[in-house]
Amino acid sequence: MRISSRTLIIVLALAAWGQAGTIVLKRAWIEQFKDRATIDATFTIDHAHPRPNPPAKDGDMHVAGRAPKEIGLPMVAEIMNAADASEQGAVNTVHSNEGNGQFIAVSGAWRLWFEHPPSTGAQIQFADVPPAANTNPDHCFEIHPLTKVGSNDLKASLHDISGFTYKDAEAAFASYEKLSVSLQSNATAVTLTSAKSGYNYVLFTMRVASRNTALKDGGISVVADVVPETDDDAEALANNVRMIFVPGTAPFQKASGGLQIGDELTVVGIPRVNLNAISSFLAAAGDGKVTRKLPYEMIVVALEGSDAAVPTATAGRRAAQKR
Amino acid sequence: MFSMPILDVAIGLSFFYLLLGLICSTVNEMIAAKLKTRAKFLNQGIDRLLGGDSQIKSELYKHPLISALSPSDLQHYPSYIPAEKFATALLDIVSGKGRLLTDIDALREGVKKIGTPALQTSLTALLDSSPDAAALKKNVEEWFNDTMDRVSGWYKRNAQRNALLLACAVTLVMNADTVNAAHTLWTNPSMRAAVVEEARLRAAKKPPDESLPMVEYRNSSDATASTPVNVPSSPEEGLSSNEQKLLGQLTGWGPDWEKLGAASGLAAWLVALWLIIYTHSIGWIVTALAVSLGAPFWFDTLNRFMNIRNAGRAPDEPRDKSSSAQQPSNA
Repeated sequence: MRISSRTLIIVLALAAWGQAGTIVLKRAWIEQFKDRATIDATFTIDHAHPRPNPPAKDGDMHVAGRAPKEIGLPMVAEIMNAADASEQGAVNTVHSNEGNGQFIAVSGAWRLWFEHPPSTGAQIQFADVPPAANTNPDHCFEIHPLTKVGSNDLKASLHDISGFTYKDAEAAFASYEKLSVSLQSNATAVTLTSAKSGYNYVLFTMRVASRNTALKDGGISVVADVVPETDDDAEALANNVRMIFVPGTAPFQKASGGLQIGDELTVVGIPRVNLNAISSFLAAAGDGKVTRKLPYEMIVVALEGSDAAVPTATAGRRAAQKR
Repeated sequence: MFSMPILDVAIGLSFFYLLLGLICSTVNEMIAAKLKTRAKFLNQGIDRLLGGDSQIKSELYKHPLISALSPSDLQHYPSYIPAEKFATALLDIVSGKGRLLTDIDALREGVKKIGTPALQTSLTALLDSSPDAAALKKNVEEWFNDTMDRVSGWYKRNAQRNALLLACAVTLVMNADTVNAAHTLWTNPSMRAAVVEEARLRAAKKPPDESLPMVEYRNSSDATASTPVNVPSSPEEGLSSNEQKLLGQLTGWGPDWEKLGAASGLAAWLVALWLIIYTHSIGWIVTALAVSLGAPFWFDTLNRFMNIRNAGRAPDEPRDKSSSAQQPSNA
């Protein structure tokens, strides 16, 4: 046989590479957070970026650590637009607590997403979480973006990222829409397995399809279709996606001002797993293993052109992208 | 269409493992249902929780809230007990007949009558740490849930071990040798083409499950009121007749039986048997390990290969949206 078995093994291994991440969540925890925009946690910081990412990269500052009481998973918290002068206090607080083992209060949008899943094994909620070895350990859970670190209020950091090229809505939602998840549940826990996925900070236009609904933490959720920006008659990129507005932020103020069904709003968002959908489905499906389309929702982190310093930056970038 | 023999062999092997994985899944479900594995693990967990108190356990399983969870009168133990029902039934038993399960004094009296020190100590600690009956019920639920987490761990480890054992058994019974299968696919283009075509049909047949949404938001006044849809109701589809036929051509003991039959005398027969085992051993080990990864894994892998194969589609072929490349992220 002339076929090289080594070649075959490499091809098979490549196919399996980056296959999927597995996470085990408590069902009680899912019930607690399925209809909340945010989470409050006591967080110990293991590692933090020495300085924020440049805006061209995304402007975030990664902070790896643990919140064993409220989250119990390997995790990263991220400050959006961390290079802003107004967020320097939070950056200093992070650095002064880095590696000291102390717990500080943090808040922000919870985010479950299979973006940096473990290459092997499952991450089990409330099992022992070892200290992070670097600023980007294997993790499926984030607090992103942070809205509070210690006494530093970060809600104003949820605005346009000046200098960053947002992900294209068509490519991003095409990617989200083809993701699947396998669920295996029992009375107390559910195992979720899904393929690695990315596409943060996507600029898109949402067409509102439901009235504002108040979330348990004061946030707002609306169901919307994601529509292409160029052609009003074109098919939606995604339908019935929940949009999550974090209380106290500029996008929240916009939504609480009154979104009507049919309104269109261009925003920047990041995806997370829709635990409301997971919870409803599990309640109906009962025990057993099942694979379905991954339900996701979007955390709205900025309004188009919301950068106070460069109010027209987004429009300019979008024009540049089209060119 | 982007076609390379090596890619087609990889598709064929993924398909081969997928079919064997589906057989293992079916057999595993039959065994689990027959042996009532989940119910047995739950029973062990309850036993541990109650400190081996057979009387309380017996009363618990006879309690209407729990006995109603059994699928039939013949199956004594349910395979699943919600924490809330366990807590209510246990407190009802401990408080005694004619007393309310929210009566803390009755519960304290009941705990004193329990003959098993371990259970008595556990319930006393829960009573002492609960300011009222509602808190006690919640604490009992958490106590139950903590134990059930360990039960899930036992069950999972058992299932993983069984998956490997089952994969070994299926591999040996069917003589599913990866090396042989790869050789057949590599040297027989017509067989390879037939397998790839059947793999294409299988890959196209199953994805609907993965693209079905879990919920719909039908109430435009409430963005938290999700309605479950596509809830599973029937078991996974089995192998088609073409798949069975192809799997039969890639596996089987026929030629090996002929070798054994041709051997004259015990010594020659043993030598022939040894040669068969020696020849197949590597292929069997690879097959068993691969199949133990499970049918979903090989289904995903098959789809990846099919996407690669479809990437260089002919101009008149319809565009396959699922083959769009992913772009790296920056969290």
